[in-house]
Amino acid sequence: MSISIQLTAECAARVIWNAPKKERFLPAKIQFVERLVSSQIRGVIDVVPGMETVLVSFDPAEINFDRLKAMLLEIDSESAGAIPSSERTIDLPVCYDDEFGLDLEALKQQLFLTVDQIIQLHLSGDYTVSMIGFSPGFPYLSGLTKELHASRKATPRTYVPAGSVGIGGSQTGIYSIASPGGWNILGRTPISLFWPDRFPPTLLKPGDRVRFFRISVDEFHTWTSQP
Amino acid sequence: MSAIQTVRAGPCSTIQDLGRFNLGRFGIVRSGAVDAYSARLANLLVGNPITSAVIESTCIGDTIQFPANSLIAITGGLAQSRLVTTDQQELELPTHRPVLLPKGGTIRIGTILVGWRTYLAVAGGLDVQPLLGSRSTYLRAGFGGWQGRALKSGDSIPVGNRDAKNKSVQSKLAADASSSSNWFAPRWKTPSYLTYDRDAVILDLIPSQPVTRFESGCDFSFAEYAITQDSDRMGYRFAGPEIRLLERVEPPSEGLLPGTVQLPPDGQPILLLNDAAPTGGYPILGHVPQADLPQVAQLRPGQRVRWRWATPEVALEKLFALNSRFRMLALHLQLWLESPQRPTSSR
Repeated sequence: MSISIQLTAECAARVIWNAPKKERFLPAKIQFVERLVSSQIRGVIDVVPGMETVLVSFDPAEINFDRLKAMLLEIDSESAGAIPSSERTIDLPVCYDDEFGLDLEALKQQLFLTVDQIIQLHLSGDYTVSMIGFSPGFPYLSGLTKELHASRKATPRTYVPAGSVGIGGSQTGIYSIASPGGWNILGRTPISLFWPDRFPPTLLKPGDRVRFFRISVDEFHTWTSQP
Repeated sequence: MSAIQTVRAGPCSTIQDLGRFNLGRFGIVRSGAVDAYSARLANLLVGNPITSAVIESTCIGDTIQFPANSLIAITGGLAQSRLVTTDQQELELPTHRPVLLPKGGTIRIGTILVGWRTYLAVAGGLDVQPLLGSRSTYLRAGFGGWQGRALKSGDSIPVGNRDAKNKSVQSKLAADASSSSNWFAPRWKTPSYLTYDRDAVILDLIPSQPVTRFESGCDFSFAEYAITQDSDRMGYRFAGPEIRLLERVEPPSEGLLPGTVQLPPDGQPILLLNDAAPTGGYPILGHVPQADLPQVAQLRPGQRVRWRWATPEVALEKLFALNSRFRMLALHLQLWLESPQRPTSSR
């Protein structure tokens, strides 16, 4: 598996994995990003993994593209065949009750499933964080069963509460902070995914495995009140 | 340590520095001054490190009281700026240069008439608590800056201690000024770099990799677009002829930058600024050169623009030109600081 590197703006290099299926290169991408971040190349401003690419922005006054490209290729060759860092599995409580499962009713028609079936299918999934993006700490989770692949809402909500667990296309994810959003909302977790005053500031990282377990409204509220 | 008081805040005034870097992988937005050139310049003029926190005001400036004597600089968009002294005198206040304010003075920055955002630096820097390596405000998540929000009337913003560099600017001003002045400022000012045009401003755009292909007749490089009213620190939205791509696909989410131009399904482009999410899934048309962003950030809603394809090489030349322009200004400021003092009587 090799990478290609394109200059996509005067200050940004785009790294692409030449692999037929994205599941295959997720470990390689995670390794690459970890090594790139820890190598602290002078002039690199940010490293932003996307679903199938990594965007490396840099200050051209500090490092030129050709030199950066050579260093990125070297990092890739070092990470080839490296053992992925230890996998974590994180179990997250979700309350799917009416007050949080904002779109369960609407999804019934679209998916030809009952509310209970939707919840059971979502609970039975074994998910992997493919990237963090969109907003601070928002995990894009792959592994959603095909039966739950739903189109996004035609008109996005202007306000999705923090903790909302949603599905969009082939992904499920968690709105880590309150924000506008177009995904269908199934429930809400009382667990905070973003801690601005800690480092790393997010609960989840790419490669983490995530499973959901169901809690009641009462449990949700006691969870919230815990420190 | 002292503090400054907002007597009346503009509609969107926030504390910003140059932003949060190297955190995009956590989904954290860069934030920071959208016209970073003006923010750096304001800091340079008062002798601050260029990474110090300043106030960015959009559309209308703020009324701010300075309980202690203070060294400030106002840069960016042009607005009427006045000093109200403790004995209620109102005086025109110079901008784009360091200004030494008397104790108890109040500055009133009015509606921004040319450009769209002003920057106010105070010697010592605004000393709000840094978060994840920056003092910048990120409004959408409500963190950073001053309580994670835009400034309101009655806020008391702490100012850091003045260091030797701040003091050298201050003493130079005090020595050069006439005794009758209520404020002290040099006669020179740094040149404006604002661009404005009653017709259309030309925006350079580096085509994305992979290059997007357009439906015939939908290449938008010849058409005129107007910046819409719902533009903010996240980005500029444009209204104009619908842009249609040859392949209408929803690409997988990928990394974005301030300067990325995206195409949402409605065919109207969005130019991302500092508060845009670090990743997104709309097709990317290209990137505006980084060196153009300070000028772009000063464009007003309603401004008409045209797009012109550019190359990374052109963008690099612009960046190096902007960097050397800033270094020249820094050098001139240093020469002014070291120049022999004029006798006060010669004024």
